[in-house]
Amino acid sequence: MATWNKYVSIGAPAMTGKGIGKAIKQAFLDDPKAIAILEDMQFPEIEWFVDNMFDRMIECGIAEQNATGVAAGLAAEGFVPVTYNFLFASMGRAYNQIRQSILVDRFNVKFLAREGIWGEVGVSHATIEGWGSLRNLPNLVLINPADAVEAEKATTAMMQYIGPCAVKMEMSPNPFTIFTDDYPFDIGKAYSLRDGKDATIIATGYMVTEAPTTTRSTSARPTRCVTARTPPSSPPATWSPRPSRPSISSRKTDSTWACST
Amino acid sequence: MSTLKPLDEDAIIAAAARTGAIVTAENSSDINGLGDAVACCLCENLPTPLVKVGIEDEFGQSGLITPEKDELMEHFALSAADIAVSVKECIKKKEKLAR
Repeated sequence: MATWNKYVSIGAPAMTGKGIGKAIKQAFLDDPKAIAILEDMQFPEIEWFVDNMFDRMIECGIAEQNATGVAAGLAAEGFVPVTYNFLFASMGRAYNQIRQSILVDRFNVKFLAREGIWGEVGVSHATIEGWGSLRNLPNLVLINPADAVEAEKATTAMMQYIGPCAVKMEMSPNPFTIFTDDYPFDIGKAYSLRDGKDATIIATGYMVTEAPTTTRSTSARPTRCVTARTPPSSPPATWSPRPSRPSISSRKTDSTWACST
Repeated sequence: MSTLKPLDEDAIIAAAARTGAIVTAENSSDINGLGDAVACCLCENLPTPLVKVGIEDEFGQSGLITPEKDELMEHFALSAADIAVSVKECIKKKEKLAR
């Protein structure tokens, strides 16, 4: 029987946004230099901010490159700007401004970025490529918390860290609470949830919710076989685009789906 | 693995040394993400069989998510059952190498 770590306790689902909102509120109370940069989006705990921090919010509208420039200028003056948006908009659209104006000079700007697939937002807003495109930018710390507890601790760590840092905010409604409140979070440290000997699952973000379930469901029949992928040892001689998949609404049964892959 | 950068290479190498089979799971593109970062680290330090679970080079789409059912997780093969298949695949790779 595998031993669960003392800091792990699988609880009820709780959205990571709640943890981030709690930590951001506290960070703004602790640090009078923190400034919220809005890009025509909600901010975590927006009602509280409107009531209590109205003079520390700057609405830049749907002009992410401009908002990033504003954040860089404020950081140059010693403020701690926090931007919040979908990752494709806040960091994808303003990629050049982030690189030139923030990362080269290592300005102290914080990013809360929504990424990952969830729900009804569709192809335009379900960003999947952001972390991959940001990973090769120097001076940028990338954190992807797994649950509400880790999200709160990660956001607090981000606000205390001096330098550019991004916390990914996944909006899936079903991430379990994985960690206990006294879980020690450190930037750059992986945490082992459970001991084992046959294989290691290294999961990040929402997938940490799926990984512990895996260990209990090894007899489950998959709806789609991942092993159907081309093995890396035998790549196709010429690149060809992947066959297009049916949209979810047109998918009737799992067998239809299996034929399409 | 909450921090994608800086990567906790010591933890990855220790896990690879202990189990000899690594499966990575991320809810975004598997290109240049966690899977590639871990693969690079292992190739340089301790080559180990690895299987990536992630979104395979395509854009997202809409789907129904309820507490009982997550259509997108099934569609993109990111569910627990899919990770389980990848784990078995990875263990097979490990056994093949040991022979």
